[in-house]
Amino acid sequence: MRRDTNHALVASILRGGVGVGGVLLAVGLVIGIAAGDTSAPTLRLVDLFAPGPLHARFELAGILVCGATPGVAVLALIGSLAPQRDWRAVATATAVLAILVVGMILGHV
Amino acid sequence: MTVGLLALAGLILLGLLSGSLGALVGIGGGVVIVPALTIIFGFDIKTAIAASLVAVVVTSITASGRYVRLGLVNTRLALTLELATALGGLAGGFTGTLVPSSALSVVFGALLVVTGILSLRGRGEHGEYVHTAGVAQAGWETSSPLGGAFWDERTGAMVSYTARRLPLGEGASFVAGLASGLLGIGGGVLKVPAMNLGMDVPVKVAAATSSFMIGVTATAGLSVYLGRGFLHPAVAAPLSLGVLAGALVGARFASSASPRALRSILGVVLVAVAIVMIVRGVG
Repeated sequence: MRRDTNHALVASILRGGVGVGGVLLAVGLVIGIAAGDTSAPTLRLVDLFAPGPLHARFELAGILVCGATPGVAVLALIGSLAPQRDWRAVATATAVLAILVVGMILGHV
Repeated sequence: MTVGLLALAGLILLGLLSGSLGALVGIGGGVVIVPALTIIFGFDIKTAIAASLVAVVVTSITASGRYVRLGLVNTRLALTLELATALGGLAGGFTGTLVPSSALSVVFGALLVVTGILSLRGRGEHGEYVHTAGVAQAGWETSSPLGGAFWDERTGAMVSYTARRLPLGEGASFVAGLASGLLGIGGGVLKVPAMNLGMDVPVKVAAATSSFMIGVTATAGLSVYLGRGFLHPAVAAPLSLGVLAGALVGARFASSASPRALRSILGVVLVAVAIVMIVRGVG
């Protein structure tokens, strides 16, 4: 048996992700309400820095932070499993991360 | 598309409700959110699925942060099963953006019937586990065979377990991922029974591990909906903030509420909603 030393780090990443993402979502919501802007356009990843409603871009940024958080957590797991020489788990985690990256690329093609 | 103040308040309320339910009865919000967004708010099901996937990610990272800290998530088991689930999520995401909305409504309705029946039946512990002396900390894991140990508050002892029948778990995980990407749900309703009943993983570890996994799975599906232009951030944002608040409220009352009664109510509601979804899809 072995104790994973990464649990505290992964928990911090998850809490940090939901915190930062939540703040960005809330800021976007407040900006939209304050400006009386009720538009709800569809946005893609590339629209984050493109001209458009400010509230929607803040909200998209919040969604992206939340969406990236599980991937960052997997990355942290790779970083902590490698020193334990658990290569099977490292390879599995890397493959999971690769699937997420491929999905992001293929989704936007 | 526009979202007025009344709809905004409604989305926050919906998120609050699904987030609370998720924390109280251990379901992802998707089975509540997608039907509500299509039936009550009148959104297209693909817009609803994209918004639901964002809410599922938020639910996952909120809940699993706590579970990971408590040592209830078996990260090696999660990664092993997630390989199949993420592939399923990606496949489901691409399929979901291609098939007609009416077909998605029928498939979602069928899934709700299954979920409703599972909720009515409840979820009990399956299998017997070894109470281990001498293991100092929760969160111990073994890589071969996959297993671990966790602190069981109910019995006040450290419990060790070994995951069995991995191919069965991987098969169920792929189907759960497919359902997640296709229908905008977390997939925990399939993964938790597969891990507990099929792989002999204690239900607490199964629920916590599934909670961690659904964030990764939903991200795989979400990336496709985001790329294909189905994501309306102004719909997903109030919903997700509601979910965030609801998860915190639900967790506060989790110990005093009766999960059995809540599950029964949820089961009846889901079956009723399923009938509406199927009728709308066919009609």
